[in-house]
Amino acid sequence: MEPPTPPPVILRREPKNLVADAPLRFWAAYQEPSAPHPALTAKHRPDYTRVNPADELLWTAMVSSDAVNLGNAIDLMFETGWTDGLPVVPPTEDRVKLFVDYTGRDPGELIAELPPLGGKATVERIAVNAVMAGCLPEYMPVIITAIQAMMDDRFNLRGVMCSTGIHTPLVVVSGPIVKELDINGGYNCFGAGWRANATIGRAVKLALVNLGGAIPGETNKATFGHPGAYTYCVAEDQGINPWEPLHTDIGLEASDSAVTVFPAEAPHNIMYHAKNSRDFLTVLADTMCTLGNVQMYVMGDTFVVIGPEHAKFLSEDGWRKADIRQFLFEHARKPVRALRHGGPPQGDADRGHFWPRFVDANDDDQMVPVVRAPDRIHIMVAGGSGGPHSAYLPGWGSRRVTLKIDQP
Amino acid sequence: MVSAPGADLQARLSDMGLLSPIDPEAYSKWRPAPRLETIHGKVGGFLGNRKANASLLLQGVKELLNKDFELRDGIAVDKYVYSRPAADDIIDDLASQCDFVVTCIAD
Repeated sequence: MEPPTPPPVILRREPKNLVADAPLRFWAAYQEPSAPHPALTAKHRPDYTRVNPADELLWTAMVSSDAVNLGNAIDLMFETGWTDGLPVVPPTEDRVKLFVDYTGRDPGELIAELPPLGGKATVERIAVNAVMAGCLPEYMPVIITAIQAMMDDRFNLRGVMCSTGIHTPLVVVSGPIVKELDINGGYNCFGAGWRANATIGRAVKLALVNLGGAIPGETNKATFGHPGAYTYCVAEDQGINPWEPLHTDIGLEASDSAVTVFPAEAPHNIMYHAKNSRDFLTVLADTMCTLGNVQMYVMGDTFVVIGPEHAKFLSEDGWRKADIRQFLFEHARKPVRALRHGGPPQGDADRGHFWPRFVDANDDDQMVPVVRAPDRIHIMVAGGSGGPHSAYLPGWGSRRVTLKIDQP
Repeated sequence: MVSAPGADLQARLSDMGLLSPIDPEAYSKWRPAPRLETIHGKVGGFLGNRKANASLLLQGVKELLNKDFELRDGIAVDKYVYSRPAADDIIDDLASQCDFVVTCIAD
């Protein structure tokens, strides 16, 4: 039976109920009280029933003062060029203060001078961008840590934000904080539908433009840009991960919470239906070393997201992450002969400049790996169960950086 | 284009009780270098980004300027890494030897 059309959401004068009631009333249209719709009880569904004080402030302002002011404020943000092209939550002083207070830090504390223009990203200014993105105050430690991580020289944030390439910073959150903040690492984890993913990623991107001055078409010369330039944040789902969390790669404890940043292209799907570990990894390796992949010429780090089905049979076959890295390093390769057809125009003499020293760029038969060493291949587990999919995220030539999150 | 808030904009923000998401100084501290009255007979620097197409473009510009303005000298140099800023020693060398510097973006 087709579900009936849900009732319209009507703004009422009880502000605290607005956020909580809208989705509930949507589903209540065709559910029995004793049998809630599966979407409301699914493992990864956000808890819309919780009303955050910061949201209550917004709704109170919207209902109790007037919607005209709210509209004017949103319009002003468009007029100044301070949005990503979508409406933002107006950064009112009281709402920003809630975000700063949550961090326990001084509002004027300098977190970073963001390139290319060197804008000073203080705690308060980061909070302003986080409010605009639609965040909750609890997301602030993740956002601040992501900004700090991107300032690591190995990440080369200036180059990342100004290049003609198609990459954009990806934020990966791992550890216990994933559950605490309900950051999605399951079904549709790179897609829409989760407030934490959508707004944490968006806050980082707004800060990079508003504070860093990476302005599309001006200082940001991306040929195409990237859908992830709006938001690009995902969690590693430890509940489905048979291996140690991503952040333990750099020596953090599994019990820590961490942010990893990486300049990534869009996820490229790897479909594999059978359960042969070597066959799967061969398919994955082949996807990683295409002639158009910028990494075949400039190296850097690269990122593999293994879906839960693939992770399960790899683990049951005894493959550790180190084994997978080694296999991919040895098999994601192209001969020098083939690589002469692609890449930068420097000519053959300079073509092998970034390749590992063991590759003789003058020998057509030499095999060139996608990265310089196995530990430049980063592996995380995410995605929904049941689908025979994994994903490959080509990089841009710089490095992944991971930092522990200091929670207040 | 992102705007740095002028007095009028700042007043509108205050009226609405809003805070600015930018660092205004970041947008005001970058200015064009002082203009020379003429580049005739001057020493020009040509800073490339270590990409082949940038070298071609700068070489063409250098030849044109030499022809039209009879430069006393033209010093061409590349950044060490195309995705990073020019190193201080390169900037210092150009600053000490040149009256003006031309650079470009080319991939």
